[in-house]
Amino acid sequence: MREAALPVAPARGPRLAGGALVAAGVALAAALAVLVVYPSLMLVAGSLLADGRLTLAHYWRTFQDRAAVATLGNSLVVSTAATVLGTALGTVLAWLVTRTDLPGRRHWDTLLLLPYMIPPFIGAIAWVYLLGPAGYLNQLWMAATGSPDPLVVIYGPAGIVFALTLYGYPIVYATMRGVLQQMNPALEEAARIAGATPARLLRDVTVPLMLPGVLAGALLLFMSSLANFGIPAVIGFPARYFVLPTRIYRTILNFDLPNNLQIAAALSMWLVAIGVVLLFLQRRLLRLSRFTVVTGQATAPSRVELGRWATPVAAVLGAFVLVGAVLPVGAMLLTATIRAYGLPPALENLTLQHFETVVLGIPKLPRAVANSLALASGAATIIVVLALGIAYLIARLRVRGGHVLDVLVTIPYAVPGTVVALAMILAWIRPIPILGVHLYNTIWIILLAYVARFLIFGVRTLMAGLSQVHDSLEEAARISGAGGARAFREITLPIIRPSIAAGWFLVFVPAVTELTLSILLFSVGNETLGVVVYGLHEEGKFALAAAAAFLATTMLVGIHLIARGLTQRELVT
Amino acid sequence: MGYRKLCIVAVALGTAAVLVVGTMAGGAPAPSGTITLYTSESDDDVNLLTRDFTQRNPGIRVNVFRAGSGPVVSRIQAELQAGRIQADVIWFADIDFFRSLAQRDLLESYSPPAGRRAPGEFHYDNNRMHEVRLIFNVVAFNTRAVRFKPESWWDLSLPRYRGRAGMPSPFISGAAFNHVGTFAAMREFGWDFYRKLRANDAKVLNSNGDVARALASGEIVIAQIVDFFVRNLKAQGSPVDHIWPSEGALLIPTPVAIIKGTQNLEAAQAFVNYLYTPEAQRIFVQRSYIPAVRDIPYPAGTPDIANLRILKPNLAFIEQNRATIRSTFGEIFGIQ
Repeated sequence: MREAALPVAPARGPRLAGGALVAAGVALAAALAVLVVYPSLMLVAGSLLADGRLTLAHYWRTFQDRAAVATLGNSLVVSTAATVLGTALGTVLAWLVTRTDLPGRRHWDTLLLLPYMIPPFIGAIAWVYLLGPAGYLNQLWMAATGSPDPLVVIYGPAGIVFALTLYGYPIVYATMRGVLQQMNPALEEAARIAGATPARLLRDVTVPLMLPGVLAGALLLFMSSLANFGIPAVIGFPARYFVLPTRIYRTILNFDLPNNLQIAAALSMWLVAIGVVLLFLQRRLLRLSRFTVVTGQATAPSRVELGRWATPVAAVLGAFVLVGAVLPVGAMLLTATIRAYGLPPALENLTLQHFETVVLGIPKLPRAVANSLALASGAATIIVVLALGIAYLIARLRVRGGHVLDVLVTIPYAVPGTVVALAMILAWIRPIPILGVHLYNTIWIILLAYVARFLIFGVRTLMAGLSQVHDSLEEAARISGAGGARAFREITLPIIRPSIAAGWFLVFVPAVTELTLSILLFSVGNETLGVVVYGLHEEGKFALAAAAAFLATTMLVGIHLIARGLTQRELVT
Repeated sequence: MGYRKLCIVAVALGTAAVLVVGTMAGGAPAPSGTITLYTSESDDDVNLLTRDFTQRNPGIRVNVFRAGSGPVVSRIQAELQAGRIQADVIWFADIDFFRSLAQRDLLESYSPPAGRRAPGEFHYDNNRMHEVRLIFNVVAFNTRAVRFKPESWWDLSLPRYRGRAGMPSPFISGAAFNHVGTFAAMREFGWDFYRKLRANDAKVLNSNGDVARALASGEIVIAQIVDFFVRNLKAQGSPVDHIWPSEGALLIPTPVAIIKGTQNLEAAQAFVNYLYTPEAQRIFVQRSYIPAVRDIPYPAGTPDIANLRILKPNLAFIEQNRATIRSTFGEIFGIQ
């Protein structure tokens, strides 16, 4: 249907003074070209080129490689399993917290989001301390039963699913909590008045209302599980169990293999294809859920009385928080304070020496902390500025081709970070022509990758913020004689400030302990916190890795609390 | 806190960040006095050495990139694709790769004065690479879990150690790569040795440090590992020990070399020379390495290597089969 044929076509946004707008538009286009378009093209080109000639040989090779195909299967299996488990868990927990009379709901809400504050690869490392072949829980088991064999060893697919679920369910939990809180209670009320039993009410009203939200949360969780590198690297490598991101990582590092980067690019295309399908599904879902769930009139929903179930439910939740947050952090602290790994945790074996070594004895650790803080805040600031421009163009000015912008912003998030890093390597491994500037092996390539990968968080947050400001407000200012810039500065900006702050922290927090991009892009002097912690673990320096991981986790929880205090919302994406 | 304040804080942090990133950005040619070292040397040991070196040579700073020999080689190869090697000095356990660099004329020839006290055979390829201390692959075991002292490499394949024997990955460790590349071509071992280890569910871990950690914790009880790790752990009180296998311990060349075209040739030479000084050699001994310089006493409890059966890596076989050594190993153990 042509737009002109619509009788109530949405009015185009206010016209801004031409010059400034064109300049801003060109700057944004240039930024997106450097961040997304050029690296994407180089990735596709890389997968199709061998010695300068166009070929499908790399694809053919990956399809014929039985191990590679098996890796694709592994990726789909662990991601699906983690999605099913994490979605069930997240939904039930959200329902318990929002729709029952569970005592201490607000505290549970905070506690249940704790696992989200632990970066997944650090969570995985902590679980190796607990359930590795010589982990504390296994040692307890062997000491208690006299068995020579450990109870459960976390290495392998089941362990990956366990960790993905434990550190991924908050994505669904946060989504569902929002959905459940905003669900129109009148619908349930009506059913109840009409005589529906609680079971029938749940089946015929509550569940259908929740379904689009559940699916949307599940999709996000699936994307995040499929993209995860740290968990399968820590828990999969020792069992020789690979998923696509870890396999692509190894291929990128395997320069013995001729055309390794090109083969990795062909493998990446599998993930790109999956990402495109998921993105399409997500857009369909968003359209669906817009009409069904959210009324916006958040009247207090009716609560199910738990009655005598209240205590057992609280006990289960308590056990859950124990497993998700308390045990792993405790294991980190214990490992960091034992003199030599493998010694029993007796008082005479305890020491603070590893903390001292980590802070004072490993020069690259303080350097990495500084790098990570600088990269994270730099990326967050750049993203907020870019996102403000993009969101303004799309949501306010409603420029033609706005959806193209939207897709460009989404691409680096729809594909796993490993693929983004590879695209950056292929794009910038050689000096930039004409300028002669080298980005590869500098900190700038990491910054570029962070901005590309996390841009969507800023754009989504600011789009939501801008949509709360009606056009008429700026119009009114302009009618009163304010220029376009002044109207924006004095009317729109103050209203969207909370969104700017939220967008900033939404980027900053995951970027501080980023691993997937950094591990492929770091160079000497440009290490990040994630790279150093992971490196210490891989090198077998468990005590030092634990000390560094514990400090990083403490720092991250602190940042979370500060961010929550400042923005008054949960930082879950 | 109001949003105005919040925004000020955010902008200030952001600006500070950009400034910090700007000043820290690496990659640019370093000012004279800074050299970059790519090494597979254990992190704590290389930190000790660089700190001592900097104290003795104030004005020279050493930036260290530490990883297993495999990842270090990957990085250098990526950098060669990108233009040039970013390191000034390289030091890791893949002599075959050093020789390929020397063939491409990428290594600088240098005769360190302090190195004269080491046997001449420790300076290879017309002084383009240098051995600064000696390491050997040996058989190590957990003294709590292993009742019969092992004697041979074949002990790793004994049924009583099923699932509890381990070795570092040749994809990561250069020592392990040399080991596979040498044993695969030996009549008394061959690929069959590795197939038997696989059948015994032997574990392939990451680096030698990772093997040491697993051995100390009892996760594995017998292992192929570089010798000094074991003596070092034993000295700290861990329940580990090693033997010199009857078929011979494998000498692992770990050359140090200067990259040709380094912008800090003098600083790079000073560092290589330092590694042969008595101070550096004593640090090696303190960390349980066998020193390269003659008049430095061995670490406690180490026999004279002149009385030991020593195997040398099969460099001809490794050079000819560089790509297939790892892939064959990978196929046998189901890696990659």
